Amino acid sequence: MFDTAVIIETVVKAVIVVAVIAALAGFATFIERKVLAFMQRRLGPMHVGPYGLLQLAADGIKLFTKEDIIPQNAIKPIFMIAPVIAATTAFVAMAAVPYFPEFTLFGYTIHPIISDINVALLYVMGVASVGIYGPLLAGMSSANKWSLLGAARAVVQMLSFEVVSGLSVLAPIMMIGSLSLIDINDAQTGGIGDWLIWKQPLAFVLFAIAGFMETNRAPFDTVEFEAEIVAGYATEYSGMRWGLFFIGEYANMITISVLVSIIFMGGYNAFWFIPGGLMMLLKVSFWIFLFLWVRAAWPHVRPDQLMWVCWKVLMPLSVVNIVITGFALL
Amino acid sequence: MIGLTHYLVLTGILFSIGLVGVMRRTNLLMLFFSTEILLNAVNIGFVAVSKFYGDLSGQMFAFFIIAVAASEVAVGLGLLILWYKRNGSVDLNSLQMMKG
Amino acid sequence: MNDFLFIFLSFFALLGAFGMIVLHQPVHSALSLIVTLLALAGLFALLNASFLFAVQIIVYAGAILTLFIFIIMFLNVKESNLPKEPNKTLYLFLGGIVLIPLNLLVLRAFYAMPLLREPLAEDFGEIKPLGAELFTKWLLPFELISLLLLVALIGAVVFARKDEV
Repeated sequence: MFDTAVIIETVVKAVIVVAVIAALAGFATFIERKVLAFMQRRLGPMHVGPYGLLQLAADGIKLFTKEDIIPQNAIKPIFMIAPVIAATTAFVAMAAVPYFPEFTLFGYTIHPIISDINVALLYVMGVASVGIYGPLLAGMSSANKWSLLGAARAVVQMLSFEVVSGLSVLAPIMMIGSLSLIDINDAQTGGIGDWLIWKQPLAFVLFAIAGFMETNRAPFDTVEFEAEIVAGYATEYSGMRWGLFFIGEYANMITISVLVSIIFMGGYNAFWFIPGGLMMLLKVSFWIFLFLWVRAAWPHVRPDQLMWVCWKVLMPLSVVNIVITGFALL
Repeated sequence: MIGLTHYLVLTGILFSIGLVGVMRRTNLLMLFFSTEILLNAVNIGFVAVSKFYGDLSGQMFAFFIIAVAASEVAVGLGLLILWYKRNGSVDLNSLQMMKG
Repeated sequence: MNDFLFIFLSFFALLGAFGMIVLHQPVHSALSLIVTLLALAGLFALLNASFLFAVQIIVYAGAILTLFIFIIMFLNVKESNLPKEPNKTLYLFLGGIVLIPLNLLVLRAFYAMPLLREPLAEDFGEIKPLGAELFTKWLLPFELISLLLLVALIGAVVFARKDEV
């Protein structure tokens, strides 16, 4: 069942994915500052390196060398492990996500997915739901009221929006008949007309909204909204532990972007003359840009508005969408 | 080679741990946790038997048990909150009197 | 490799379960229970039950335990309000010894059954055959369980309502 070559290949892939995504997550923070700055007619980071490109390294050095403060009344082991949970779950979720079409290197065919399991989509959503423990435990162990409020908000919102994202993604699954992301991608090979976004526009919008919520991005970032609860669950964190939360959040953002691209926007199929791998990069970049764009353009919502919209608008809509899809499939 | 026996031994030990927890802990929350352990121990047994006998019924049972556990937790936690609001205690022994 | 994984996962499952019943604070117990549940999810995956693996992670680790910890946070039980449990460890130990015969009984019952000799089907435990079986042979239990979940949902809502009636 397991031979050594497979194990080595899997380990190598896992290391590459973690390294690349962690680097990209760091790079995304730089992009975020630049994009937000241009949208607000500023320049953004300019001093370190050309166009402020080395700001990334400066931030990294700052995070690594900062003192790791643990508050006196905090519950030490839980406080220390919470950011690790947040970052780990964000990376573990990527194990079942394919990034590129398979290619041949030195006569050896490589599938750019760590493990093609037949319940890939369920797996990704499950691991993402385990990711709640990061904010929850951080908030509970910090001995800080802002943290506690942030943790409470995080749990309530993530549990609620899991329902929306799960139900909305059910309709495309019903049409394709498989939970494997590779199968979902292969069902959309026929150019732009085959993209599921045309057949499931409502599910696409609902899943995107739930994705914004699950990654704590504006306009739904009530979990760590500065004006209300300082920094939410991460208030007491500093240095690299805070950095782990940060990396986890951006890794989640990349995962959601990849998921939306694969499920609704044709995945890594070649488009016109553009090869599949480049297409995937373009789509993911577009989604990251959209995340930033929305942050620059939209105001926050209140937590109660968020709950209202989740349970009284989005959830019924996704159920109706499933019913309609079911009738259409019959 | 790991066979059915090993899985069943694991099931047995886990079930015993859960049962002891149910019998001995007087914290209501612990009672819930121990019940989860009991249900999970049975699940792993069902799935192991299902694999080693090539029959999907075991997995079905495990699936239904998980659903039952979810509903049990929903109702049970609601009751627990009500009880805690009324009595300020999660001690199982405070449930002894039969007054409203 | 499979053997190693089994030993690894079952060790963590037992460790978590043991920690669950021994630790005093509910939060610590809950965290210890998460270890058990995730280890059991891994065992499901080892046993070709990939759907149950996902369900275990989503339902147990993702929803039920989060709810537990959230309730613990919400109740905020003080240390002094926790029930005193004198001689807990001793009783736990004695209870464990008493239960050994039960395990032996279960094992003997299973030894009496014939084992499967032919190899498993290629797609055993994958989601398609599982779903097909669920909606043909187990349709009535499935509908009943959905009814049960609905009843539990309504019950929980009724409990949580403010006392205006």
